[in-house]
Amino acid sequence: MIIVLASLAVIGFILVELIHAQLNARVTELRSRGVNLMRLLAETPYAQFVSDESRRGILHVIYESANDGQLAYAAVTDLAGKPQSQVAAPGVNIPGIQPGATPSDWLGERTLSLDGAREIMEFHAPLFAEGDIAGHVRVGYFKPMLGLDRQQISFFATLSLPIFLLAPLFYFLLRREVRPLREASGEIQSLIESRALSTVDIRASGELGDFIERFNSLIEFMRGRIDNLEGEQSRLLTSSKLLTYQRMRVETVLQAFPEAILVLDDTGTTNYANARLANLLGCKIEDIVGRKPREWCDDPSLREYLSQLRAKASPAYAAGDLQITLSHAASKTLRVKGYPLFSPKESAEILGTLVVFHDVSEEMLAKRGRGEFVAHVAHELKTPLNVLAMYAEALQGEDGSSEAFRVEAVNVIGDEVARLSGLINNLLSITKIEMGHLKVETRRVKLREFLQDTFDNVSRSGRDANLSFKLELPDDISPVSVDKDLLRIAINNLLTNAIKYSNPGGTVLLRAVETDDAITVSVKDDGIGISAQDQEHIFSKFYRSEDDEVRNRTGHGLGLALARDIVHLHHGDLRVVSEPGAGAEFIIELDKDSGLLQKAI
Amino acid sequence: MNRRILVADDEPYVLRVLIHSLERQGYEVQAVANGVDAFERVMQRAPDVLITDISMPKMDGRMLCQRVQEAIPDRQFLIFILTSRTEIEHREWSAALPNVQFLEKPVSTRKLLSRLKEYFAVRDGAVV
Repeated sequence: MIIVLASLAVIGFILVELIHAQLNARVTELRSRGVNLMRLLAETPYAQFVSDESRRGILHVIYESANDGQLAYAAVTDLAGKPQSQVAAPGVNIPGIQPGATPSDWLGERTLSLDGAREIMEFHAPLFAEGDIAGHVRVGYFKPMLGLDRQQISFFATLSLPIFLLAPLFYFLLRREVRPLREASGEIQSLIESRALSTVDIRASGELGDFIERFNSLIEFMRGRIDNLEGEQSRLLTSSKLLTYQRMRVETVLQAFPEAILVLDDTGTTNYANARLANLLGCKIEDIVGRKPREWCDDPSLREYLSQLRAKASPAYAAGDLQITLSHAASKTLRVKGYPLFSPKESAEILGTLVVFHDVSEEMLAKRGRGEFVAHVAHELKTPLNVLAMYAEALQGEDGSSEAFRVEAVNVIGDEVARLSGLINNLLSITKIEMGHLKVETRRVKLREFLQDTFDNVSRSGRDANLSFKLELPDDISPVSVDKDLLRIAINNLLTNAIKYSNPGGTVLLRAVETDDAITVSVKDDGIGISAQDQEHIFSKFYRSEDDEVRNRTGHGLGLALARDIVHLHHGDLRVVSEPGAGAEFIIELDKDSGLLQKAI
Repeated sequence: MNRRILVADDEPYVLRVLIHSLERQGYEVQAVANGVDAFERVMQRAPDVLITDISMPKMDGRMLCQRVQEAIPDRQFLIFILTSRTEIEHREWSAALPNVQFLEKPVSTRKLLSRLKEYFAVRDGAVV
C-alpha cells in the first residue's frame, strides 16, 4: 500500500515539475516575442499609426500575423493615454492606463488583470514624432495558463506506465528481503508480551543471520543473569522473612512479658517499649520510641534515674532500684531496675540498657494491709493483757486484801481471758478461711434442733445479764446441708454481740423463717443500736466505733467479720437492720437454690 | 487539800483499776473515755495531774496534749502519757512539751503511785 502511494506521489511530483517547466518555457517565449515586437514598433514614427489611411493598418497586420490566440490586444495612445488606434480579440476591453511621466516608465513589461479574471502580460513602448515623444504603443498577450493538451497527456501516460509496473515488483522484492526481519520483530514482540525469555528461532542468512545469532546469545546471557538475580532475590526474601519471623517472635515474647519493659540504646534514646509500659506510664508507644526519656518522661525522679543509667553503664555497674509513685496514678508504685546490655562479642561494648518496671502497687498494698492487720491483732491482744497485768499487780498489793476487789478482779480476769481466747479462736478461723485452708464439712443438719441447741448454750451463759431470751422456730423446717461447727460460731458471735449491746432488761430473740426460696435465721436485740456510719464498717476487721456507748462494751473486732465470712462460705448473705437506740437485727439469709440446701432436701 | 487527777482511757477495765487504786490513795479521780471529754474537763478546771492514753476515740492523746498546750501555754500540772516501750515515735513529738512524763504499758499501779508521790513531794515541797 505504502509502495503504491509512494509511486503515485513520485508520478505526481514528476508531472508537476514537467508542467511547471513547460509553463516557464512558454512565458519566456512570450516575453521574447513581446520584446522583439516592441523593438520593431518603437522605431515606427507615431504619425504612421494615427494617419487616416494607415490608422488601422499596422495594428491589424500585427494582430492578424500573430493570430495564434495569444494576442489579446494592441493599441496606440496619445500622451494622455487616450487610445488613438486599437485592435482587440473579441470580448476583450483594453484596460485604460495612465502612461508613466518619467522616461524610465515608458518602456517595459507589466502584468495587468483583464476584468479581474485573466491575467495579461502587457509590453509597452514610447512612440516619437520628429524626435519628441508623441504617444505610446501597448501590446497585451494572454498570460499562459496551466493546462494539458492531448500530447502532454499521452506523454505522461507513457511515463507513468513503467513506474506503475515496476513499483509492485520492487515492493515484492523488498518484502521478500525484509521478511526475516519482520519475523524477528514479531518474535521479539511476543517475547515482550509473554514476558518469557527464549531465543528467537528464525533462519536467515547474511547480516540478518548474524544479527539474530547475536541477539540470541544476548538473550542467553540475560537469561543467565535473570536466573541469578531471581535466586538472589528469593534468598533475600527468605532471609528477610526469617528475620521478620524472628523479630516477631522476640516482639511477641517482649509483649507477653509480664513486666513493663523499656530498651534504651547506647545514646540513651528509647529503642523499644512494650504495651505494658505504655499502659503503666499512661502514654503511647509511638510517643516514646525514638525519643530520649527527657523528652517524654514526666516524672522527674524516673527521668533522672533513666539518664543516669546511661552515664554510669559499665560492665561492673549494676543499677540500683528506683521506687517511684507515678504522679498521674497515685496508687501505682513501681520498682524500676536497669540492666546494661553488653555486646555478645565485645563484652566491654555497651549496646544499651534494658529497664524493667515492676508494678509493686499490689505488693505494697498487701504489705500495708498485713502491717495494719498485725498492728490490730497486737493491739487487741495487748489490751486484755494490760488489764490482766494491772489486776494481777493490784491483787498482789494492798488491794488484794479487799474482798470486793478480789471478786471484781476474778470476774474481770475471767472476762478478759474469755475475750483473749475468743479473739484467738476467731483470728485462727478467719485466717484459715481467708487463706482458703478451711475445709467446709457440710452435713445434713436438722436446723430446728441445731438452733435450739446453740441458743440454749448462749442463753445459759448470759443468764446473769438480766435479759430475756426468746426463740421463735417454725415447727417444721427443712433440713439443710451446712458445716455445723462453722455456722455455730457465726450464730454464737451474733448472739454474744446481741447480749453485749443490750440494755438491762432487754430481750434477745433468735428466730428462723422458711419461705419458698430461702431460710433466714436472724438475731434481734432491743439494745443501743448501730449508727448509720458504723453500719458501713461493722463487718470490717478490727473496726472500732467512735461511740463511747459502744466502746464501753469491749469486743475484739473480729466477730462480725468472721460471721460474714462463714455465711459467705455457705453461699448465703449476712446483713444488718438497725437504728441507733432501737436495737439491731442481724439476718442470715441462706438461698435454697444455692445447692448447699438442695443437697440436704 | 484534795489532789485532783484526771484519767483519760477508752479501756473500761484499765480505768476501773486506775480509779480504784488512785482513790484508795486519797486522790480525787475523774475518768473520761476520750480526748474530747478530757479536754473539756481540763478547760473547766485544771487537774493536778492528767493521765492519758494515746489511742482513744474522737481525739487521741497526742492531739489532746497539743490542744491543752495551745490553750494553756503556762500549764502547771503534770501530764502522764501511757505508752508502750515500742511506741517510741510518741517520745519525739512530746519532747517539745514541758512537764510531761511517760508511763509504760502495761501500767504498773505501784509505779504510778510512787511517781505521783514523788511528783507531789517535789512540787509541794518547792511551794513550801
